[in-house]
Amino acid sequence: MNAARRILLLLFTPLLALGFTDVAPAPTEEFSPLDRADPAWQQLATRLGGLPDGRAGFSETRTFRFRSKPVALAGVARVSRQHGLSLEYTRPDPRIVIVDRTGVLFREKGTDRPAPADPRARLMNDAMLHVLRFDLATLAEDFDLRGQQGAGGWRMTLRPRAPAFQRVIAQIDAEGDDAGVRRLLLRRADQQAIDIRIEAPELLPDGFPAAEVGRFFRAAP
Amino acid sequence: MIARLALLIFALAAGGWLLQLDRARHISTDVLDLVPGHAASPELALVRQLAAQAEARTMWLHLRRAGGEPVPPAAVAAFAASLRSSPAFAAAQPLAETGTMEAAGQALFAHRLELLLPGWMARPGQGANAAAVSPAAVAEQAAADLERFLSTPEAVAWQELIDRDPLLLTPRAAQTMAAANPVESGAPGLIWARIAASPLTPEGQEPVFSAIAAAEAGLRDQVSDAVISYTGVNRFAAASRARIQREVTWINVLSIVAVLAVALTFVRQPLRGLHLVPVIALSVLGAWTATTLVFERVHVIVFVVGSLLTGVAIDYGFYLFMQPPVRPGEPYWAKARRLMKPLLASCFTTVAGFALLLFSELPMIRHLGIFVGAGLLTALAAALLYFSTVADPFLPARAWSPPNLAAGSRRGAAWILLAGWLVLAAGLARIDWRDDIRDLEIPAPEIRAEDAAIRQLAGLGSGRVPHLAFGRTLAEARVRLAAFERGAAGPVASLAPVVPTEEDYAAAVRFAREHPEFPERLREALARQDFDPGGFARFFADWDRFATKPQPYDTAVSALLDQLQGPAAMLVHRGQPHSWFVAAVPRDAAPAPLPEGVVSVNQLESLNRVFAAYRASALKLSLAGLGLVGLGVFAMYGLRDGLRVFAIPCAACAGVFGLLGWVGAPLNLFHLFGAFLGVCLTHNYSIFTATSALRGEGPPISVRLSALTTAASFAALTASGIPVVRALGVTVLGMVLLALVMIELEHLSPLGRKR
Repeated sequence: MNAARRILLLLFTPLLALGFTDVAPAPTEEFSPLDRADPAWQQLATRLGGLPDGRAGFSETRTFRFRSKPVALAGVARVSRQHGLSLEYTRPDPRIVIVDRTGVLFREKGTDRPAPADPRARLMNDAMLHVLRFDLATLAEDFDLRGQQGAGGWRMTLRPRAPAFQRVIAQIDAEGDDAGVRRLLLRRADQQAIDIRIEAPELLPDGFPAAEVGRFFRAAP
Repeated sequence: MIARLALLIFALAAGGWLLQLDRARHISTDVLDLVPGHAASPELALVRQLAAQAEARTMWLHLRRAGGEPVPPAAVAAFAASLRSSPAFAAAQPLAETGTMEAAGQALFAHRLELLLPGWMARPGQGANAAAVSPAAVAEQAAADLERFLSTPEAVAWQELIDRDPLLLTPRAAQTMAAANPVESGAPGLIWARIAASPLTPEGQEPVFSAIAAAEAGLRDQVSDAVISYTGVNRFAAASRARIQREVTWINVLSIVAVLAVALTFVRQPLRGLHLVPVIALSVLGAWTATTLVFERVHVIVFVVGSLLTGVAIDYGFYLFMQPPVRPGEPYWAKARRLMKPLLASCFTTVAGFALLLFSELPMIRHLGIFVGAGLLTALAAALLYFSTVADPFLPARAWSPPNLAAGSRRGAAWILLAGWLVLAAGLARIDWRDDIRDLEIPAPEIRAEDAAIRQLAGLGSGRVPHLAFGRTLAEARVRLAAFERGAAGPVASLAPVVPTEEDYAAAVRFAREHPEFPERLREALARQDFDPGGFARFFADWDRFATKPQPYDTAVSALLDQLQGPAAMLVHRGQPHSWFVAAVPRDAAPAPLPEGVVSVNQLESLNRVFAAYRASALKLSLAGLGLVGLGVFAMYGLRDGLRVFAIPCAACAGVFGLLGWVGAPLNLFHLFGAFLGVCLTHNYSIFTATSALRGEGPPISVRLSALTTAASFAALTASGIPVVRALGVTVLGMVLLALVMIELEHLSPLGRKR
């Protein structure tokens, strides 16, 4: 019977595709295909991929086509090689979103609940995690990668290969420097986007303290 | 000649009847057939209906690689497609697959105002009747809720629908359902399936297993190290059927062999002992025939237990065949008339005792009453007729007698036995009854372990108790579901968030009609929250349609339910005479008592309650039967001698139960039944011995042989894999041996000394 209820929850996930239409991303600068064998990208991937765990403040702006004023959120992002990504939202309301190998978990007022089991939403969340880790190899499995590097840093675009995922994310734009990712722009359609700007991280060579792990990441099974 | 003809006609008729019997229809291995389904328990009838239908036809399969890694989703999908292509399967879908729910999702969204708005209106603070809250206040609240929602993580997933659902009807319903089921998605590689035929029939077993094997072969072509495990009622049923078939055969063979071995040990002319075989065979034939004639469907356990009949049926043959003639050349029928009184007294009191079982509410006990009663009557008739056809109807025993103990030694042994019995009887105070329907099942540890592992993966063992809210119509069932939800002390998982009550639906329609200003109030409220009201044009068009011409309740509900597939479809049943919704709550969170029209479908608890209640009933019948036996004894022997005769079966029963109490063995209905049977058997021995004692003779050799063959027969049952059959064997074996010891110690000899 429990599995029947779980299946019934999946009743709602197809709804998430109902509103989607074939979208084209807003015109952006077109980069060259990202060659992962290029020493410059390899060097950057090694450097950013080897960064220790860290935390950084972030601001998130959500733009909706039916709303004249974007929704502004802010918080602290925590990235851990072992525990995944934790987004601690402090404004407007406190909540935590955890993205890890198991999936996506929402934590609010001390209660955990899983995100809807939609593989398309999972792709978007996983993409954020892999971009923050600069895991180009994993990203290349599901996305067409393009980018460029310059004196000011690097920029990259990710476009989903599978049509089903293109209806969730038209394109992800990422920017950063040698210290990490500074901006993620998730484009869904014209007038609909999520813009995340990340401050300079505080790196933790020894990892997160146990109390912080318990509070901001998924409990160990 | 007449006797031989009568026996032949009976054998041919009974044999012919049994050969033409449709065994699949008349013989059941379903434990639910042991539970009565009469009108006094409509909820159990519903449980049986559900169990016999959708739930019982469900199978779960899990695919993984040898190292535990998941199988690629495409391979899982192909496996499920292979199952669907087989006529043995009605449906099969990977649990993680959302595609099959798309039609249902679309139907839900298309009818969200009919299906979800009522629940939204009925939320605390909103008021089920809109008159309690002004449309302007409703609109302000909706706009504020929407503004807050956009900063939640879910907003990112739902944002494409918000312009058509600013009231957040679908996200709220999804959250409500998720809150009632806070378990993460099941493991990858899980497949839910429904078989086409009943799992308890051959069509629901072998063809299904063959289809799975074929799909497995296809999967191995893609994933060479794939491991498939699966579970379903049919798997247990097939294992039970195979085991029961083996057990019926070898227990009956073992029983017959043991009985004949004992008999032939004490019989001088072993080959002549084979004359007892037709008596046994005819009694078993009579028992099977009578039972299948009287009852439409009999549980196979009745036939397993019937193996005990070989020990009981042989008693009359022993007595007739082994009693020496009073003078050489005594005619057989003169001998039979001489022995008729104890034979009839023994047989009829035993059959009368078993006849009381016909008043039991438990089908299996009624069947057993007919089975054993008919078998005993057939055994007596067969013995009387058969030995009239034998040229020399006397079987001399081997010249053996027990050691001739001195009177003092015999008294000492009797006192020791009495002291031992008093110690044993003290164990009666330690008796522990345990009524668990699982004691009727064949143990299948490997299949159970696989079943437990798959259920764990599928989240089927999360401690929630399913209930049925039923009614004559779906609307009535929905009202009862609402009552159940109101009284529950925990979250209720059901279709309630997506199927409103008819009353709530009417309230929502009334609100839309009576407040045409609501859309404008909502536009204004949205604008105040920095929304572009023009961005919600599609929603307002849908609202206008709902306000002027809403879909009728039944149409909207059917539009959704018609699209439900897979396990979700099992949460509701539309049909005659009942429709129902399934609702699950955490253990101990269900309202007590349950509201009208709601039953628990925790089969195990329900069946165990029935099992316990019928043990109480069987105890009353047993005591009544014992009383009947006692009255017969007192009538025959008077009070003083009757007490001595009656003491044998009573002491045997108390001694065995006391021993079981001391060893801490939990007792159940079948121990009780074994005691009933043991009393009847030991009563036989007591009567036959008393008859000899009255003539100043020692215990008849036939009683010794009867007791030993009965003990051998029941000893075979103690080797059964079925716990309750073992219980029966242990109880009767113990009672018979205890009674034999009492008889050998000349407990009844005082009857002859007075005379």
